[in-house]
Amino acid sequence: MNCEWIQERLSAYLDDELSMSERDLVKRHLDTCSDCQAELAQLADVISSVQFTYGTATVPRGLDERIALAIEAVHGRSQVLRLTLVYLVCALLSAVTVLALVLSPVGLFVLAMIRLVAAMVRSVAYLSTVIGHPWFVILVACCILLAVLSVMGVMRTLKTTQREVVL
Amino acid sequence: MKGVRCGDVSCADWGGGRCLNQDDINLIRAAKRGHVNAFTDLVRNYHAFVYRTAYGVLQNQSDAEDVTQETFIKVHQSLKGLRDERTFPTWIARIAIRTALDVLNHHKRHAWTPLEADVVGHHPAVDPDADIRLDLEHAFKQLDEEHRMILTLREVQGFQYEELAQILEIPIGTVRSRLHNARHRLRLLLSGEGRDSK
Repeated sequence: MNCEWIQERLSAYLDDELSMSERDLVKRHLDTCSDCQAELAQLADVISSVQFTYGTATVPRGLDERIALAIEAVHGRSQVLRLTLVYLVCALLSAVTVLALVLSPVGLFVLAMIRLVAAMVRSVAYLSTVIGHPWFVILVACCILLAVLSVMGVMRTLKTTQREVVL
Repeated sequence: MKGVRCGDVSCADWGGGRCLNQDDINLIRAAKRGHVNAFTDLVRNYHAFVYRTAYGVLQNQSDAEDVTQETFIKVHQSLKGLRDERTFPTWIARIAIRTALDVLNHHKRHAWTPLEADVVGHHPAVDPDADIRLDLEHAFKQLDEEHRMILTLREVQGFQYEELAQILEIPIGTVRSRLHNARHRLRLLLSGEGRDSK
């Protein structure tokens, strides 16, 4: 085994990454060759120097906080983008749904009902003119309002009374 | 000299930070589920690991910081795609290396030269080993980027040959020869024999 062959394997020998047979050959050669022993020692020194210099390099202070802030900013931007996209999709879907409803038989029925309600409201507005006694219409409207309020008041009173009885 | 493995006492002393324990695996799982605090803890645990990897390749503090930040943004965006949590150190190292390479390629396209005095994180006035560090950093800067990469991943982060092959996407035989060449070249540069020759 010549020194060149051995020295090509010294690096892997130091890392314990040789096969058993290669390792034995290198080991046996090292026992007898001072040049290769020196080469091995120098390689080990190089490795130690790199570990010493770069393995203990000081990390800039606050770097982890800056990274967290940057990720937060990126996350925020992507959230805004996602929400905008969701909003646009919803708006588009709503528009399509309304259009489909209007054009479908159901939509036409709803439209007819809206027109009916509008006509009823208009007819109520014309009622006073038709009857010829505006004060009479106002009186009836006030009576209905008072009746509704009375019913609501009675129901509320009943509910309060029930609760007090339970307590 | 066998590489550092999880559980070794020397692991923390190296500052490599690549030891993956059960707490880290739980953190990665929680971060994958979208827990913000878990990801913040992951950044805290691994930012030194990524920074030192990037700095070893780039030899520039500012670029290494940018690469560290960019790496974690990429990790945040693609963590859900990581199937096996135990491969996290290899996975994040590969992202860091690729991001650092992108920066190097960008600098090459724009004819950028690193600052000579960018000796990072050490204070020569109070550091008794400053000369060793300065000599080594000077020699390290003269290495090819692929030699800097493999030396950083092996000596600083303690990756095994098989892991190096995965990170650098090269055959294991190439890992062996490239590591040998890198160490040999660095030895020559440190001894003054390798100056002005490649």
